[in-house]
Amino acid sequence: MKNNRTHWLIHVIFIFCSAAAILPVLLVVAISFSSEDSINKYGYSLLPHEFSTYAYQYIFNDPHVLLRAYGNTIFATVVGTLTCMIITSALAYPLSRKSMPFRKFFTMFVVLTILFNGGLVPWYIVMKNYLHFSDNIWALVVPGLLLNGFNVLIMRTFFLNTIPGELLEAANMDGAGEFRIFAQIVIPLSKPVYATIGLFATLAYWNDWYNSMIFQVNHDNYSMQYVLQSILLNIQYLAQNTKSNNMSASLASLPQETSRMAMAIVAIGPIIFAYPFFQKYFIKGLTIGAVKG
Amino acid sequence: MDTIVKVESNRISSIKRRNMWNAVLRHKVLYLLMLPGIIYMLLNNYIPMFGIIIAFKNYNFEDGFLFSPTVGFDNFRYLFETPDAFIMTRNTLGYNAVFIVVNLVMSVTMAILLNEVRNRYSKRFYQSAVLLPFFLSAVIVAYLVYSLLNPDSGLVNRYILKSFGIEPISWYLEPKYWPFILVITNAWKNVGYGSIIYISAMTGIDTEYYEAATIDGARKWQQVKYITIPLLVPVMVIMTILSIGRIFYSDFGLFYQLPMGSGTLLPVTNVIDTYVYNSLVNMGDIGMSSAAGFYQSVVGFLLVLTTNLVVRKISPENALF
Amino acid sequence: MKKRIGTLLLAVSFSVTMALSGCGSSTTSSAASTSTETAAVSTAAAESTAAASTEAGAIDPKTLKPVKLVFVTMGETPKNLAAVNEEASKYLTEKINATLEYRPISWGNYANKVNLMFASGEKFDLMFTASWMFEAQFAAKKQILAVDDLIAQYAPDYLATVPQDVREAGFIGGKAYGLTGYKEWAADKGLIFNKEIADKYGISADTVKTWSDLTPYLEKIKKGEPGMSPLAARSENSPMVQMMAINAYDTLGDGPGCISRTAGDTKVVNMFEQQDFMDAAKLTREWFTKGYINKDAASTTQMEYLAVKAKKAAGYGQSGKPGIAAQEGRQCGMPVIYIPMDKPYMTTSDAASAILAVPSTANDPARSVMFANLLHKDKYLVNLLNWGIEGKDYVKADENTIKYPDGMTAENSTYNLNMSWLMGDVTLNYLWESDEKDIYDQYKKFNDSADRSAALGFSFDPTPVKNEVAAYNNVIKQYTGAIYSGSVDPATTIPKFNDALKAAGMEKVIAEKQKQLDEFVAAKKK
Repeated sequence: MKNNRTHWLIHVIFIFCSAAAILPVLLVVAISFSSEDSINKYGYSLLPHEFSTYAYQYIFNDPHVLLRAYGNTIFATVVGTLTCMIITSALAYPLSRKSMPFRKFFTMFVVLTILFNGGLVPWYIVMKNYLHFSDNIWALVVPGLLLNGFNVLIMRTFFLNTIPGELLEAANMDGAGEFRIFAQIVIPLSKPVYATIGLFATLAYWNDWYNSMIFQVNHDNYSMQYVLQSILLNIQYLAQNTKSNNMSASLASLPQETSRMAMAIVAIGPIIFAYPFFQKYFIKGLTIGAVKG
Repeated sequence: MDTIVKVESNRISSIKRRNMWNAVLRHKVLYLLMLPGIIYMLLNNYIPMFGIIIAFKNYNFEDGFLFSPTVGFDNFRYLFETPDAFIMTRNTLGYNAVFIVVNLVMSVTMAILLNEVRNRYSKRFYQSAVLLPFFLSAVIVAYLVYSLLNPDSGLVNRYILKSFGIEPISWYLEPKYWPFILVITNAWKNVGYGSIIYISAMTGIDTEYYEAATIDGARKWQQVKYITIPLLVPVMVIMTILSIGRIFYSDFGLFYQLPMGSGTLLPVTNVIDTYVYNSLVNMGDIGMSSAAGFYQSVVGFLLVLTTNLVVRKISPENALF
Repeated sequence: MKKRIGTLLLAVSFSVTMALSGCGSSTTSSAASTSTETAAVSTAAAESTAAASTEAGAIDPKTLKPVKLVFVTMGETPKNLAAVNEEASKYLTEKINATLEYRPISWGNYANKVNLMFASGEKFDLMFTASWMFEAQFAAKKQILAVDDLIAQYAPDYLATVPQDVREAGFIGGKAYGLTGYKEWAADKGLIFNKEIADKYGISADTVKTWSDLTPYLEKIKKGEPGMSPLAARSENSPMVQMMAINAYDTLGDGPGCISRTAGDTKVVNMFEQQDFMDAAKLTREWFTKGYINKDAASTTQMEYLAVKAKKAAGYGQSGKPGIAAQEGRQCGMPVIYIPMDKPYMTTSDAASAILAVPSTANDPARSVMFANLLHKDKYLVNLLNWGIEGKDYVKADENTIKYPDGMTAENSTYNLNMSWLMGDVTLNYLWESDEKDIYDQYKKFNDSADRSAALGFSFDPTPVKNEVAAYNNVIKQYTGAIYSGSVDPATTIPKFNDALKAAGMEKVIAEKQKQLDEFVAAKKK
């Protein structure tokens, strides 16, 4: 009986939390489908005063560029996330092995990358002038995003806590090589953390506009977020800077607020659908309730 | 006598060295595994780190990084000597300390509660829903908050306060409310994301523990207290150490966008990142901005070392190094 | 992902830069170091163009080595850019034996991207800069070249169209670092009003001469038009910003210290301590408390014209120039009137608001200058870069007027660069059908009639006091928005504000500014 009540309470809490999270997003959707004039006049509301798809039309005015950018982002996200998961776990697993000499040194090596950075300019020079990540699709994949000390340390902690040391010893006794232990024992046991890091990497790649801004010259290599951001900045500029408008080619009505919201939706949309794929692995686990029956 | 001791100690150290070498050899596959990551970090992080010297230089293009005139700590002065320096340092530390605690407690609580939801579909639904705010950019969040708090047409003033008979509040001119607004918004945006790590950590917990506990007649709360939480502690510790390392950095978007440029709120919303931004936005001095970054890094580094030392004293197996 | 401060700084939304452009910063490089550089440049130029005729302006392309010019400015990349680049390259090959790659960089990323291009030693040949777009910093860091000699040799048309005092306003340390665009070089300040409302209540340039004349009219609007705020304001653009920060004082670049327009001398003072500042603040406060200004002025980001468009407000403060009423009217979606409150005023930041400079990595600086000169001379080239290819991107309505081809609008146009204001001489552009026919004459009159600031051409080098300027910028951010919007009581806030400024080291900056200004004036007299 009491148990039941706790369960209801938990549901109530979560319904409240979900509403607090979903309503604002619905509001964003509603604004994106309103006419700019009605937002301007009446402010935000959950039901559009005047329905309009103008914001979306404006964003997709040049669909070729945006679709191409979507393609780039998907490529960078898939390739980047997979590589990221491999490299991250390959670095994290040895750090979790207590018997390995110089383990502390290498942990420190990773920690320092989280704390210190030399700034944009030297990083850019290394990436562009020496490694030639410039104006090609790999510039969206490799610089900055491929490996993150933070993720390495999270993975290390998971390996440390979920892979029993005895298991590794036993495998060692049986004569399994280190590589086989890693590939055949550790990886299968660590699906949840792979899913977690994979999700983090996916989000980082998906949301990245920075590498495009820094490295890309040609439209064809832009990422989706960067294209959206440029459209928005351009609207802002046209709306605010009267200096340029003296030639009257400026637009009579710019979808300033509505397009900002429409962009958020265009950007979030696909990733929401990709989400359950990861969720499956890290939420599947065992529930206390299930055990109790 | 002396020579014997010396010979002996030499022998021991050479044995040690040989043992060490053997140990390294035994783990050669592990080093090989680390190699790609190490190389990446050398290129992506360590080589560019030499750029830190620019914090001590008056940079110009012709002389470049190495040969621009050195100015010692002159680029750092604005971070310490101004009247606002204390305020922004206090704010940065204060907010981040609160964020670390609040987000940790809420993320763990959310993960544990979610684990209690039996229905698979509602569980998935709740978990996805609470992640949504994470996807909204700070600018959009700022507009959403503004639609609540706008002095004229905001929901709070127009409906909520009115129905309680309270006078409308000029939210954007009253600094005293902002610590709460910022903490709540930050939690709303980040707790769903933060809980993912704990949810994933819990899936790794061996069912046997719970089965045994149930047989022993442990109540649910006891199971959480004696099984779940202790098993989450290592993750909590690592997350906290890492957050403390970044305690001098703040979420620029949150602190810059949310107050909608209302300067009156600066005494409670100015953090190091916004201070540096406001100071340098139309000066474009990369020496001074590097100085700020260097300052943030050094403080973070010292704090990580300290925290790690404390953790090592209490529970050595959870320490970072 | 963590974003570095440097990134944030540079990835700043463009609006911020623009909002601050009235007080753009400057750094002066030492004259000694630049002179050697100039010499080097002119030798290089001499080499590459040795065979070209030395007679000013007359260039024989056949004697020039072929070169590719990369030209960067802010702007969105238009759809048909490739075609325009190709067309321009063909044309320029005939003129100066050069091909062109024009490369617009999107707003807000421009400064960042250009800095990175410099950092990595990328070759490019001509770039946009301005007093508000780090011209002085580029010059101080030796990223752009002093080109006095090259201008004298290869830019006769530029020298003929842009008067000397305006050209000199863009100088840094007495050297020309680029070619100043021909556009409006001054601004006047005033108010925009919904024409219908203005007519109804009798607001016009004849009835409103000073800011306080406005009060009774605002009162009438407030009473007569329920639901409408007589004035719309944001902290970045309230009527008071127009009254004070841009009009009554020349803010002399970054940091505290201004000279008064009315005093007409070169004594550097703290604007916020002056009586006229307090009076303006009190007037604004009165308007705010009486409800003549929108209540959310301190925090709103809604542009004023949108408030007028939605009939939420009747008017707003606006900095003016020829054609301003037509331009604002288009944005408001209704006829508006513009009431100027003062004669145009020309300061360094107005006069140097669009400059085309030669980066130090340029292939052939002489050719860059030749190309920039063509933008002051060649009607075909200017219109090609600004509006695209005739018949495809636009069609002619008559001799000098253009319009979109049938079926094309501003929204779906194939070439919507819209950057004529930075592309050399603006008056070479065709007019659009909605433009006033005599707009270019108005420009000339406007520029000629402008009051010159006593410090025109002066640019402040904040390096010796940069820590104080940094602190000052934060104090400014904290107080001005609230004062300018009238949201706080100036009688108590302004003294507090001034104390905070003093604590931030304002006096030191003012002293430094005065010193530099005195040197500038003395040098000019010689």
